[in-house]
Amino acid sequence: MKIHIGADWHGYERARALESWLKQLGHEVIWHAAAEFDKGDDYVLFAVRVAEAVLESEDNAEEVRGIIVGADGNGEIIAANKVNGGRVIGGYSLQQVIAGRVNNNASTIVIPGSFVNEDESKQLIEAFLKTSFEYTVDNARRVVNTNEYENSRTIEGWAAADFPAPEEYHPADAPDLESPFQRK
Amino acid sequence: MTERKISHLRYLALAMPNFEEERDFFVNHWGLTEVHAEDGASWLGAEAVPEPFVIRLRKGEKRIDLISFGANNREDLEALHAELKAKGVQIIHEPQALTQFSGGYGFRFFDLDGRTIEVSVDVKEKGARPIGEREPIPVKLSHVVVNTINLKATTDWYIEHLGFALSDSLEHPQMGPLMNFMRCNSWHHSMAIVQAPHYSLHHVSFEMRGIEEWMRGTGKILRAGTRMIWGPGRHNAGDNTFAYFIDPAGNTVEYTTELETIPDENTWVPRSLDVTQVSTQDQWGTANLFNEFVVRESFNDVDKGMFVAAPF
Repeated sequence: MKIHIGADWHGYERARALESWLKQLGHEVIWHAAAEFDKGDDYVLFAVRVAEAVLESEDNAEEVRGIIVGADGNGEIIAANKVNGGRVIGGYSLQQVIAGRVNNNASTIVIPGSFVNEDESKQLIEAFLKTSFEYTVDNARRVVNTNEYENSRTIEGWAAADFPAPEEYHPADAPDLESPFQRK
Repeated sequence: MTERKISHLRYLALAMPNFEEERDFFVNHWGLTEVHAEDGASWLGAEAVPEPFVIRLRKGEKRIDLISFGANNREDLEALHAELKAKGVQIIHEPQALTQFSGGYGFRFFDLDGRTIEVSVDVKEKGARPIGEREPIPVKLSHVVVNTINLKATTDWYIEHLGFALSDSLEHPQMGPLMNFMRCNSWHHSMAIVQAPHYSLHHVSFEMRGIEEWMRGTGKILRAGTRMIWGPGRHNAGDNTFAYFIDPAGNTVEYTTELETIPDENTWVPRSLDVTQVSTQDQWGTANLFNEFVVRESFNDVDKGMFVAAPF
């Protein structure tokens, strides 16, 4: 699998360790962070670069994932999801990462180095790489709805303001949503 | 109904003033491959089929230039030509060697409404390859849908003259019949006919490899700035997923997948589905209904090419 990896100075050392590990596993790893440790460098550029590279690989029909390593990871998630088509999740627990693949077709994971150690990072990445998106029409529709909003500010042709006001929503009318954690 | 001598849908030829923009859209974003080009014209193939091309674009006033079908063999083609001539169909040219790219042997005529129809055999096929996993490009041309002012007469004409069969139809409780899905082989429909205020192209549809490729293609085309006018959803008639977009010429183009096939044509009973029932148009139940905006866009501009033969 092709893996695009990036990190700011907080995640640099861990990202280098993960790069070696992934290469040993036979993956094609492409480095998007500074060539050498650069104390104080910002995460935004690296996060965006990884997300853009993942999109480019997806358009080229490659099997691809992105990995970004940071401190708490929140800024990286926000920045990388600004890339049009980015589907970026944080890696905070095994179950949550699996749900992100199964339900959301997440293409990039942000490893919060302050909260997970190297072994845990590897477990999260392993699950992220090997779990497939569940190609149900519901999951596919939600991903496409998000793509549409991102590009035209509509959901199935409607502006968000055109939908019923919250007080007009009734639980009985709501679709029967499963909790992602009830799934495999 | 006449014996079916048509084998499949070959290609749709379109003309538009903004030819360069349209070609850029289909080649660089939609996922077709330019297999031949001449000044102001482009022949576009789908990677997974040996059909030499599936779309032909020409610079000119906006119209459908022609819809092309394959015949089973040369004998059927000659017989079909003789039948149509005997029935008084206006022939544009007799069966002959075709001179455009990919050659072949065929004839052209006007259908009931005046669309140019071509039937051909022995075209020079191109190489084909299976579409890979995750590839966001069309496998093949799926179907062409046309607008007519007389749904019943045009439908009957295609059944009587070209051996098409009705697979399913859509109707409105007050407005009556709206759309007929027509097949010329085991695919649920290769063509459909829509009741409209004028003659025009309703939409042209391309089949993707599967849901993943359909999703990727849809995401890619949205990122290219293309407007999605209807979808995503899953039709009841045809059981196919859909996402409809507007191309630079103002035509509606569709990415679809998993179009239903008819296991036994002899026992298939056409359904008449009520468009006011959400589940008819959209099994997922969420895509915006056949709303006024979608209907207006899919009526398209008036086609100026009726009973005017395409220049080549």
